[in-house]
Amino acid sequence: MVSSYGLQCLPIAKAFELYDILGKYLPEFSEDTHILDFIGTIVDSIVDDKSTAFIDALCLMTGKSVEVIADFPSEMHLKLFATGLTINDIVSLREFCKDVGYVR
Amino acid sequence: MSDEKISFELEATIKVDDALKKLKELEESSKATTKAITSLREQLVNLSEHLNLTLDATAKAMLKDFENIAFKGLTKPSNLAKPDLTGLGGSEKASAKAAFAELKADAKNAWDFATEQVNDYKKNLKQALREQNTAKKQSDSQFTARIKGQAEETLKNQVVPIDWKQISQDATQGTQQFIVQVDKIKQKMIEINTQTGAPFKVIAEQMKETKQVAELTGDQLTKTKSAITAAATELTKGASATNLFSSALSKLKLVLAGVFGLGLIQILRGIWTWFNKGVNVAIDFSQSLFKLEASVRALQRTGVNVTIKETVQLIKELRDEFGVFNTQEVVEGIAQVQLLTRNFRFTKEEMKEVFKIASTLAIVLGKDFSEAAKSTALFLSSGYAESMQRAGLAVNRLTVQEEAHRLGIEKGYTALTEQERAHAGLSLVLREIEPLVAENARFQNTYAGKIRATTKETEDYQRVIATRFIPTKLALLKILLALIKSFAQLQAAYEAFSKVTEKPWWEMGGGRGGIGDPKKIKEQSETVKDAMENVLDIDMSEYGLDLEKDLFGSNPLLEQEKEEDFKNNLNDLVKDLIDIQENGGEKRLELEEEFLKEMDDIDQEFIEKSKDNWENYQEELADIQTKEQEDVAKENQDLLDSVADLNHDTQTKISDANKKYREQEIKAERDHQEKLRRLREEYLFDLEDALRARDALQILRLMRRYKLDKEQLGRQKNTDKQDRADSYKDEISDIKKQAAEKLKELQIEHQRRLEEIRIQAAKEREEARIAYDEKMAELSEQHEAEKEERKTQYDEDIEELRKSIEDQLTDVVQEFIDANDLVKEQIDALGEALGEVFGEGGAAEGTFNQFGIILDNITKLANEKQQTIDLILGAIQTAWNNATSNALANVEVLKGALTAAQSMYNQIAAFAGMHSDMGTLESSPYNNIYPNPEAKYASGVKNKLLTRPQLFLAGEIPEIMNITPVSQLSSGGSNGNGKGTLEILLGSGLEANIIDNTLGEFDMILRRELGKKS
Repeated sequence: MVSSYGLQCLPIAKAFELYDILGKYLPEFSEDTHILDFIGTIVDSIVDDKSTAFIDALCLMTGKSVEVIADFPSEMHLKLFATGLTINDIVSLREFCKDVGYVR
Repeated sequence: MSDEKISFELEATIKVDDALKKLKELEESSKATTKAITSLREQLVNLSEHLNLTLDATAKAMLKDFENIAFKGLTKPSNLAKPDLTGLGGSEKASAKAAFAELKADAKNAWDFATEQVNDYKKNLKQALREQNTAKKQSDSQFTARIKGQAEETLKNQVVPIDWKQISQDATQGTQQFIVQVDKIKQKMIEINTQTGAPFKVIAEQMKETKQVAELTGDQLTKTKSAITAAATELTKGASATNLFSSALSKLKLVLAGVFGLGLIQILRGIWTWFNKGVNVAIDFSQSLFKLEASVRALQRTGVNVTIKETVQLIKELRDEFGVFNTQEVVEGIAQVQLLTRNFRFTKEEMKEVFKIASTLAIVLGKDFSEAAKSTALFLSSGYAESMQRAGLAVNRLTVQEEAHRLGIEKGYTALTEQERAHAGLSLVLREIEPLVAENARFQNTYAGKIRATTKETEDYQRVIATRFIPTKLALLKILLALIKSFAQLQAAYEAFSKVTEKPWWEMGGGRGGIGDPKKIKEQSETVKDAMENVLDIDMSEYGLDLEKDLFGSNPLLEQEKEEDFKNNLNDLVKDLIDIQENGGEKRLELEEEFLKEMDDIDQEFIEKSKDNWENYQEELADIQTKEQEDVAKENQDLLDSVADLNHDTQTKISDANKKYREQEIKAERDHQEKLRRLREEYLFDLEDALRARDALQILRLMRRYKLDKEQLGRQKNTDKQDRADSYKDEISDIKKQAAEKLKELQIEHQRRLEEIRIQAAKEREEARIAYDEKMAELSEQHEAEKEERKTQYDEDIEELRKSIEDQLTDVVQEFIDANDLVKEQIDALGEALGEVFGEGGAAEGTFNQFGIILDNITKLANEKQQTIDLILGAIQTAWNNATSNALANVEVLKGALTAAQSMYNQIAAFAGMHSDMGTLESSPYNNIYPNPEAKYASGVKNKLLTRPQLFLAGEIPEIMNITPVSQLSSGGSNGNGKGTLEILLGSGLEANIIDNTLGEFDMILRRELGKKS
């Protein structure tokens, strides 16, 4: 169902952009950390920061504009965000970026 | 020796003495001038200064003066009048001729000598003029060189130190201090970043707020804040693009290689994004500046007295007063307001009120100044008041209309003009916004206000820094162009790489769910990396050099180089200015000389035409005079002819009467003699009879009777003779009376005709005078018109030259400004320095002032020319007066001729026994005749037989007049005692009859009576 909202596996360039957007909100991850907790922490940090990172990340991962995203049912926003991060393996992405020396 | 010869020789001697005296004077003068040409030069210079004339004009005047002196009183040999040798004897004539030849030779010598002296003087004067001109030229060159030296020295000592050098040094020093300060702060911030991990921006804010830079205090705070902002900006934006490029782009290869091909793209993108953002800000600011300038021009075109300088000052004032706006906002806002309200005819003060309203709105609503300014301007222009209302202002179209009513404009909103709406709206908003204005100051002192002010200041510095990267963007574009060209060669490899990158990112790593393996990724991108290394072989140094120059324009080395260029350019500028000045001066002098020459030609032409006109007038007068004289002479001749005819006719009549009288006398005598003869025959017959009769008584009676008859016949004869004599006398008297009457008629007719001739001549003279005056007026008008036209042409030429010089000056100065990229302050300083040399009171002023001196000289020369013309016209007037005097003198000559004519006429009248009143000279019409003296001069000895009375003129020059009556000629028709002989011859038959009839006795009586030789 979420695929109809345009969620996609990001290529390397866009993946770095995603890291640019969310990098500052990514908490440390351990094997006993549940992915949903991980994502929940990210969302809380974004909310606390009153940042637009949430919507920016959604736009990037769906390839839609802000206006289109705003038209989505509100209950879908969080679901899409979590699904998108899962699809793009946000935990691995962080580690990858650190390994290759990509500093935002 | 005759008196004439003595007089002639005396006159010749006097003339020769005069000539020799003048020659001596000339010789002395010539020697003095020949000795010292320098003396002539001194005279030339002194006169030139004294008369304010050019050297050439002065030399001409001097030469003319010398010629006048040299030839004064001398007569050209060819013009010497030959002596009249009439009446002189052979030896006297030869002596006179010899004296004249001697006189002529002396005159020729004097003339030749004077000519030679004038030529020498002319030659010396020319030499003096040439030397003086050369000296003056040298002096001018020295003066020009001195001026040039002074100008260069002045510029060297004053212009460079006070302007460019100091400015460049200050700028360099300030920049270096700023860079040091920024580096210092950067180090501090890096230390903090290393310790705390806080972003640089946060560190910067903290540094400002907490003043952690303890060593920087006081008035350095402002600079420090700027430096902090600059440092934060550098550190925050993309790992310092400045450092990246300043450390030479040639190192880019190593940097990029260190982060793989992937890193290259990403970093380039980051740099590119940063550049674009910063440069776009700078470009936007440039756009705002352009808009501001356009708005100022638009206001100026609507008649508002506003300048860019004033507007810039206003921006500074607003920026200082409202620190919460950055410069770009203020510039953009002012431009918006000026553009939208340009037709409202706001004063500058009203415009400032609009800006204050916009400022208040911007602060209250939290908007940019430019947006608030736009909203304010829109309200004033169209009544759109949403922004105002959001700020709590009770403004709308209705309140605007009410405000208009309050201001005395009784119209509906739509009926209000644009200006009325704007002024009413402004008045309304000013009143409504008043309570908010006080809040502005309070806001700026709040924490939020300070943060906003700091942020805006940061934005200003960011813009300033970004502005410097505009050339960087250009350089980068060049690099990108080079890269793109190289990338094209690697298209295939890049496409392969792109295909990989289009896949989910983890496929480049170790697979989904795993942590990416950098080594694998490196392997996968190896191909692209190799290809990119080829790309990186591009020599970046050439771009780096340009960039370094563009980025670090304040590099001391470059500054020094620029300063050297500036000095060289300045020297070139000064040389150009001097060249233009000299060329302009030379062209101006050429124009002056040409103008003066042509004005002189015009004057000369006018003088020539005036002289021609005068000569024509005189010739016409002479023609009129000649014609009048001819008419008078003809009339006189006609009169004399008529008198002669009358006399001849009268004499004929008298002769006829005499002849008739004499014939009557002869006939009477003949008849008387016949009667006596018959009486005697009868007496002899009767006496013969009485003798034969011897009758003595009868004889006696016959003798008495014969005596009585004879006496009776004698008495009868005398009576008849007296009757005939009386009749003859009456007839003669009648003839003379008729002749006198006829003569009177002729005289009256003569007087009438003379009066006609005089009136006609006077009329012709008056017409000639009017024609002369008209021609003179026409010539004067033409002369003035030609001078005026030439003066106008001259003024136009001068104006054109002046404009040309101005254009050239503008061009070289503009070229200099462009070449050195001078700002306004530098241009002003340059203008001031140049003005000290070339301006009023400057070293080169004298050269420029030559123009003024020349103009003064022109005026003076023109006045002198006018004086010359006046003198010539005066001379013509004098000539006229002299001619008039001569004419009056000639009248006296004519009077003499008339006296002679009158005398002759009286003689004729006396001869004819006629009335001799011919009229008096005083009442004669000849009194107004001006004869031409040369017309009737005697040309030599003339013998002429005058058979009738004639009028002629003599004695105009000394001459001998000898009129010899024919009766006194030495041969023929005269007995030498003045008496004539009348011989009457009788017919032979008559004489024989008388002898026969008078028996010899009567023959004797007759012979005795008639006086005939026996």
